[in-house]
Amino acid sequence: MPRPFLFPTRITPPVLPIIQGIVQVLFDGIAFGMLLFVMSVGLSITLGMMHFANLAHGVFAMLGGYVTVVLMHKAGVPFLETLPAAFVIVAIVSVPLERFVYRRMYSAKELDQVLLTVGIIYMAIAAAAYVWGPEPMAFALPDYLTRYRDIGSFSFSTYGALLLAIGTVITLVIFYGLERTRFGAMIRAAVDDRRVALGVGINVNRVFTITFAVGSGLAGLGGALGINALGLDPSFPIEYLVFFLIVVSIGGGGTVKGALAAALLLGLCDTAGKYYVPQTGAFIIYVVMLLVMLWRPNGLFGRP
Amino acid sequence: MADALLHIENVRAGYGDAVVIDDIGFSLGEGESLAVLGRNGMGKTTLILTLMGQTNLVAGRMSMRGVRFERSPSNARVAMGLGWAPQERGIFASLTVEENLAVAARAGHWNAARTFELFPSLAERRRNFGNQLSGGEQQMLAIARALMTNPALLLLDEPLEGLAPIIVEEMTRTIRKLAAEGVGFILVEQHTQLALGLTRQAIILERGRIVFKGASQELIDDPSVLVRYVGLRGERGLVPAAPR
Repeated sequence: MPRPFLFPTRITPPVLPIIQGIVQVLFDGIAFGMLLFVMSVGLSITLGMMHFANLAHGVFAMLGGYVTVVLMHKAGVPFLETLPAAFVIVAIVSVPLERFVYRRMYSAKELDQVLLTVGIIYMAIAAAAYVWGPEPMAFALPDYLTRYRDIGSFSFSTYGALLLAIGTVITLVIFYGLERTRFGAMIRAAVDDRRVALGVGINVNRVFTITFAVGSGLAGLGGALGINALGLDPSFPIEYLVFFLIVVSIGGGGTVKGALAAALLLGLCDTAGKYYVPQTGAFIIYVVMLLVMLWRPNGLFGRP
Repeated sequence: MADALLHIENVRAGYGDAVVIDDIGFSLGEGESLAVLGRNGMGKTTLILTLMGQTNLVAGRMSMRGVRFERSPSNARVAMGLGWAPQERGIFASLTVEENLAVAARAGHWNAARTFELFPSLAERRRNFGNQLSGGEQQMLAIARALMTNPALLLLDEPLEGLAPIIVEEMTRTIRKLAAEGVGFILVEQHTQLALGLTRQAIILERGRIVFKGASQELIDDPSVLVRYVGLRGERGLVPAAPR
């Protein structure tokens, strides 16, 4: 005796692939969005604090990728164990760059900042090509990250699950650090009003250096995590520049909430576009950005 | 005068190429108080901002307890003992009242508990964000925040501006209390009589220069100088001058 139609125990064939597709897009899109968030949240905060247009943010992401590949290939370090190294090494490398190069340019005109950081991008591209060659780096995820895990009628990649897990942990740590610690309050104070922050004794330069280092380290971590999804070659900083800029402009500078919302939106739209309309999929994100910018010119959470 | 709490001489400063104050000099001892008077646009706030290192200093020397600081950044001046309550209040909107105090905290007598004792209405709003406060509360928070740096000298830039009369009274009492506890302060104020009642010394600025320097009592006794340079505009007489 067949069960009543209204209470199906299994999803019937014509509907199942559609739902599977939606779940797939949601999962992959959010995972990709988390990756974008980890890579670009530092840029959002530092832009909000110093109003410095650091277009070279992607250089740090690329460097993180190379740290991971070199450690894996030359030293045989397992993938997961290279990730903290990518974070720490990139964070350390970013400090002298901020201290000795960027700091002189905080009060410079935006055009000068853009010229400086675009110059740094091209220097980094040339340096990476010189050291590691112009070709994309060969990279293979460890076996356990290439598998799929079936839950009910759906299957999820373990790599996507890793991005989600790390992204979630980092999001929680950032929110806690920013909203619940004294140092986080100092960052927000400096974003609110840098002159008054200085005037009540906050060492804004030091706060900024630490924030910049952590943000750069996160970019490095994102670059390392994302090799599988984004690839790794010397043109990385320019290829993905537009992603960072979209996250920052849609989110609004200086807000972690905004960066998170923008990164997830971007991840979902990009994934959905490539899944449903492969011919024009890569174009969708620009349409979304245009619409958001028309609707809210200062970004979703931006201040006027 | 190397051991004065604050000593400045021949100070000329402004914004960009424009010079707003010129040839400013005075000394203050520990726990002393100074009223800075003058009409709007005469350079009172510029003087405070110059003390905080937020203008373009063209010339002059400034020292605190004999240590020169005219080239030091704002935050270093706070560490030396200058506590600033800015004219526009400068409350951090995305920080709670508690956080506004915590980010400025330096070891010393003044901590969150003591400032809340001084401003009980802030204690009630400790979890509110800076942008949820009334004008009076913002002003109290600006002063409380400056106290959290445990300053030797408070810079109060129009702390009574735009406040309801009852809050002005409360604020005046608080400033008197602070003075009695030995906190030195420089008070920029449009409420001339109030300011004179709260301070021992006064200067009047006219087009960026000092045109009067002397005891506050002198101006109370002989208001003709006041009338000439400040006019009667500032004398709202909300609270009578303190008896001396």
